[in-house]
Amino acid sequence: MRAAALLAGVAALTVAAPAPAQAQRVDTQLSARKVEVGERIVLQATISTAAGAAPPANPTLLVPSGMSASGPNISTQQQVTISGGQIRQSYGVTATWGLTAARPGTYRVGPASFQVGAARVQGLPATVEVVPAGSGPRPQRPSFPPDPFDVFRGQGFPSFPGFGFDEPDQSQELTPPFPDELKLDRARDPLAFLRMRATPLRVVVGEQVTLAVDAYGSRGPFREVSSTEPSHPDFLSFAIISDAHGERQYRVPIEGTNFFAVKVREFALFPLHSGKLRIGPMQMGFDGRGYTSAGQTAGLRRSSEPLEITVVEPPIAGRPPGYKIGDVGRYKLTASVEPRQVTAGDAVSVVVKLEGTGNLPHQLNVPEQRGVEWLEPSIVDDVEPQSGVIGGWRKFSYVARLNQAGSLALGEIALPFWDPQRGAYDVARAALGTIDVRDNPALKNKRDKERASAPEIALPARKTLGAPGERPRYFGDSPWFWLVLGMGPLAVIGLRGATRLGSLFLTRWQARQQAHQTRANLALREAQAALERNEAAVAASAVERAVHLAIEAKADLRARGVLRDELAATLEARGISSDSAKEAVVLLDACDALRFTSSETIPARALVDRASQLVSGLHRSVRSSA
Amino acid sequence: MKHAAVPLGICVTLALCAPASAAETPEQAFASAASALERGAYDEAIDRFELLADQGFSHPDASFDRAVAYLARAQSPRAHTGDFGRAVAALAETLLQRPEDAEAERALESVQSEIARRRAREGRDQITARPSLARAISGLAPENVWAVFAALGSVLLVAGLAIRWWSGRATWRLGATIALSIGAVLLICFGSLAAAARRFRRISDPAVVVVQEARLLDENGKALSKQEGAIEHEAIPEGGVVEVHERRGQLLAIEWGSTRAWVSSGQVVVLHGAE
Repeated sequence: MRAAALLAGVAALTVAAPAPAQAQRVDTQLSARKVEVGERIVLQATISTAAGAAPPANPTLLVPSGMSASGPNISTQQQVTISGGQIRQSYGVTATWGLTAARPGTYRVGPASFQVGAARVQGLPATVEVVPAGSGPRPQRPSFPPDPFDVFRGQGFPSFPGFGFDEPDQSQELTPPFPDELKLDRARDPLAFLRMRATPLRVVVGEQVTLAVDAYGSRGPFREVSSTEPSHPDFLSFAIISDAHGERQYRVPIEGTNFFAVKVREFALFPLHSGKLRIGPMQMGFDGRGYTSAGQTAGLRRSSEPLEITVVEPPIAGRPPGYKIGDVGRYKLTASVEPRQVTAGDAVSVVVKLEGTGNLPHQLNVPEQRGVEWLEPSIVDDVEPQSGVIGGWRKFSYVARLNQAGSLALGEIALPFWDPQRGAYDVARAALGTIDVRDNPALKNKRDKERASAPEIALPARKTLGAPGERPRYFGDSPWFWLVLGMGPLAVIGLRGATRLGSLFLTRWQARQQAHQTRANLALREAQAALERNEAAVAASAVERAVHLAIEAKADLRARGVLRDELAATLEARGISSDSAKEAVVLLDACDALRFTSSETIPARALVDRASQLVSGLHRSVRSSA
Repeated sequence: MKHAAVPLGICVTLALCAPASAAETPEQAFASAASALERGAYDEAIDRFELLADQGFSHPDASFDRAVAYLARAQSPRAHTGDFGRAVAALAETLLQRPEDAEAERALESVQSEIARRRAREGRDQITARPSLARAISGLAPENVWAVFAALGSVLLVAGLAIRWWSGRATWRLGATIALSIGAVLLICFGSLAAAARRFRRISDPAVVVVQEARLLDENGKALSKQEGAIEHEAIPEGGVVEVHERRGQLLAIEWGSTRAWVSSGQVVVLHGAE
């Protein structure tokens, strides 16, 4: 509502205001007449013309020695006035320069001038007094006289966009429009920051990547100082915007804060090879009120983030012959050949014009053939950014010497390229037509000489494809080869080792068996001795031990750990005959009875004899099995 | 309507024809390239042969003709720097695919001699790189020869061991001892050579320098100097054969003779047909 009211007020006052002079006049204003050394002053030159007249262009300013200027920043305005019932339109251009003096003195600045049609219109020069640093007046907000296109400046109204001198006003609700590319959701820094952006982020080799760096400052307008350019060694670079001077600063609201934003750099980059290519950060100093300088001239230092661009090669499928990696864009070829009739040995001029956008190649493939000698071309071009896209034309002027008489078809010049918009290959072609070449007898000797000076190495080309070569097979690539190579000897060694080990085990086992047998015999002898002494229980104990040792020798079984009821079956399972097993059980039971109850189920002597027979029998069977 | 239908029909016809022409068989592409070579259009022939190779078509005769095209251009007024090197690369590729191609072998020698002659004419040093001892020894014979000898050694060793251990006759045991000694030596020596040859074949790819001189670099891309003592020569001459071990960005780790260094990847061509 407030904005609408303001606009209505502006319209009413504009209507009521007297019509500006329609004569082509340049008004010059200075932000200050007396400044200190190094202090920046702003000079604004405005010209207005009637609608339909030639628009003013090419503003220039004469800058005196000892003073440096940046800019101009150019803005245009249109005004409609109604006077005496007549509607009158006028068109204005304002050029703004920033000036800084390096030493004290009185300087005459200007005049500023504009090109209007064929004439140059100039204003009046202005005088500026520059005093030593620290001795000048206290810096004040720059004041400008009433502007015919912005009469409300300094009156509490918002100024019109594009005039470059807007002071920061955080309470202002009416934000002039700004380009979408400057829009941001989040500020990287509440004071000032740089943002680097590239489009697109995935390209083919040779495709244009537009790299832009935007500067944002929340403390009012700023000036770019002491910048460090973003490094991009893997790219061919064309500058579209090389510094912030002359670029308009916009107010961009970010998270409730009005930032002043300006695009400080813009490059058209062409990747030179594939891979993940890095673009280094840019550093810049923000110079202006509210931006604390890191040094005398460094300004408030800020750095952007680096970027990474993914670069691939165009697909191999469908690639036309003669395509050179990097030829990406949209091209058109035209050619002219003159003259069309020559004598053999003479030359024709072939001019080929390559037009289009993208990475225009510096070399074309000419249609070579015997009898036509192409000399190196001279090249002129006009390739520059056009609306952010690199394009233009390149003209190749060839001289082709024709050495063979007859009607000679020169063929065509073809330039294959990758069209990123279509995502496909295309070929630009220019037909060169036919030349009538008259015979030249004087050329015959030259041809003979050429034949005589044939190349030192002349290889005959193969016209057809023979049998393809067989891919060599290597034994070493088969894992079986290495397995057999090593496993043969290892198997023999292993077999030998196993044999030796087996016999060693056998020997030891036999020795062990013999040890049991010996101890069993000793126990039987003890039993005999006990019988002699009439000690039946002791004899029974010795017999029991002899039986157990014999069983252990035969069946590798400790029979004491087996229940007596299961012993017979266990012994049979271990290869002892059923009779021997039963006998062993009977003897062991008899031994128990004799030892613990003194009852002789078997007489003691018979017990010893039967035990001797059993032990001998088991020993025999052990030996036979071994 | 009729007038509109004619251009529409032409467009449709062209659209239908376009894929057919795009889907050229390798044999047709070879014929087109050979035809361009025949009529002296060396640039076109080279473009076509290179495209054929890029599309994965690998044939010794195509590689040979590519060498012919480079060689013809190298000796013409439209010569490009590195044409001789590329001819060497193409011929070396022919021999990789068909080792028994005597004509390619002779041509390769001629081109390398021509490069050496031109270097001498320009007053440049003749540079020869001595391979490392291991590579030199393992390269004395084909890998399969080492493998066969190693297998023979293995057989002798097996037989010798078996007879030595399980035969009761003293004369047999003596013979077996001699056989197993010889077999063990053969197995160790030739087995090692076969393994080394295989390893050298698999860990690196042969490549050829296709610029006048490929400067030797460190892994950061900084030029190496002979004065630092790390290298014997500062650059590899055109046509020099190197072994590529590793690719890192735009740099290739190479072995040239006994020198290990890095070169820019655009200065060498890795041979197709190599494993």
